[in-house]
This record gives sequence, structure tokens and C-alpha cells, in this order.
Amino acid sequence: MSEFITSEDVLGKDVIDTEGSFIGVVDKVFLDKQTLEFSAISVDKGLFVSGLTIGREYIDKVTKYAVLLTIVPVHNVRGKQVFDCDGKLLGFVYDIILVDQKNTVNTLIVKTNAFSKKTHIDAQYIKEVGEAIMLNVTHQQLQNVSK
Amino acid sequence: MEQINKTGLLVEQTIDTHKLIGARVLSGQGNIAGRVKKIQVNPQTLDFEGIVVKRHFWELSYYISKDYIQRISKDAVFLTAEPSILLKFKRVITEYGKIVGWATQVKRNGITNDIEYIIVRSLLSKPKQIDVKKIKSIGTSIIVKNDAVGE
Repeated sequence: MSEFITSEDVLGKDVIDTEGSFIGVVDKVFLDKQTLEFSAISVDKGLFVSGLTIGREYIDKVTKYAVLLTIVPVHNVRGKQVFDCDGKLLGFVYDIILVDQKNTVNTLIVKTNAFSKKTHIDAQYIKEVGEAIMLNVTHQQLQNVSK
Repeated sequence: MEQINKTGLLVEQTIDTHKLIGARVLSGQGNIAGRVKKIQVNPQTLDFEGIVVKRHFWELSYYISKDYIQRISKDAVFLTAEPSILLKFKRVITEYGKIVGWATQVKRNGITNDIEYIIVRSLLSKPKQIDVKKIKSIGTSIIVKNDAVGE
């Protein structure tokens, strides 16, 4: 039985992504109704923050300390600043559109402030994601594309 | 504007250093290293040598030489690497997700950006020295190999 883990080993554990960010705490474990196979976990991200469901395909391992993911959940990009390739600040990520329900961004929705209009930026223009998002085009090139 | 120039770049091809003061300093990994406080020039050759950067008001400024500067635009300075001194106070965890502590000191090779080791402290244990070879990856946290802490 030592090769098995129980729900107790998973519930309440920290969930850590590949960057070492603590995403939240496991508050539910989902099983497939038909096959009874482990399907996903629900992550409690804290008070006033909506949770996240992560499919088993994104889980690397469960250790005695944490549940380790194989990904950085793309939802974390919300709120990040967006810079063009010249370092010009374009705004912040207001929302994202995913590819189906996978952990892949299709489009960033960027605003310069809470009241500005939204700009859609296709994922092909994302060069790097760190504390901020770096694009591989200039602001001018983006505007030319949207025309 | 009138120009007096023999072999140098035209003024339109240069960047006004005054406008660079306060510009963001960005690493290639999408991290913000701070803002430019000063621009340093070699007094003999008049070549650009580096920048003084400050990130948060409670932190000390630090100097980055042109060795680590990839390019400069009118809006930002781009670095070739993450300044390793910014690893200070990052959380340190093992590959298994065990929290080891916080990096309180980053020992570099001289004054280069190359890390030799980090000192990690936690509330409940003695400070640990972790060699750079035991560092698996650096992101939001510093992830070290399990054997770095005897797991």
C-alpha cells in the first residue's frame, strides 16, 4: 500500500508551479465518475480570489510537501504589465482568452488603465513572460496589424 | 539642430541620456530590474560604461556594466541576464516543494554576475550554504536539488 497516496496526502497541500510560485492549496480532488480515475484538483487561491481547477495532465507529482505542476498557470498573467519590444509600457493584462480550456493563451486583453478601452493582443506577439510580459513587436507594429 | 561631427553617429541616431534617466531596466526574461538612476561614462575614452539602477526605494542602488547590457531603446534598457543580487530574499524551495527558507546572501564570483553560492536562512534552522551547482532553476522562487538540503 506504500505506493499509493490517499486524499489526505493531497488535500490541504500547497500547489507549486514550475517557477516555484505558490498557486494555492488543494481543496478538492476530482474523480472521473465512470472510470473512478483521478481527474483533477481544485486549488483554493485565498479569500476573495476565485479558485482554479487543474487537470491531472498538468500535475507532475505529489510529494509529502506539495503538489508540483508541470506548468505555470496562464491565469497568473492577469494584472501583469505589458511592454513592447522597445520597452514601452502598453498597459496591464486585464483578461485572457485561452485556447479551448487548455493552459495556452490565445489572446491577451490589455488596458492602459481601469477605464481605458481594451486592446486585444494575439499570443504570437508574446516573446517572454516573467514579472511582466515582453512582446516581440513595437506598439506601432501592433497598431498597424489591428488596422 | 546644428551638428559638429566628423566620424561619430548623427545626433538622430543617438539616444538622449537625459531621457534615459528613470527608464525601466528590463531583463530578457520579462523581469523588471529597476530604473536607471545614473549613466556612467569612461572619462578617458568617453565611452558608455554602465548604469546605476535602483529597484525599490528601500533597496540600495547597484551598478550594471555594459557587459550585461544587451541594448538600449528610448524607453528602456535591456539586460542580457537577471542581476543575481536580486535573488536576495527570494524564497528557496526544493524540487519536492519543501520550503528551505529565504536567500539572505548571494555570493558572486568577484563583482561579476556569476553566482558561487547562496546563504539560506529560515526561522527554525541554522543558515545553509547552497552551491550554485545545487540550484536547479530560478523563477519566482529559487528551486534547489533535494540533496542540497540532505533529502
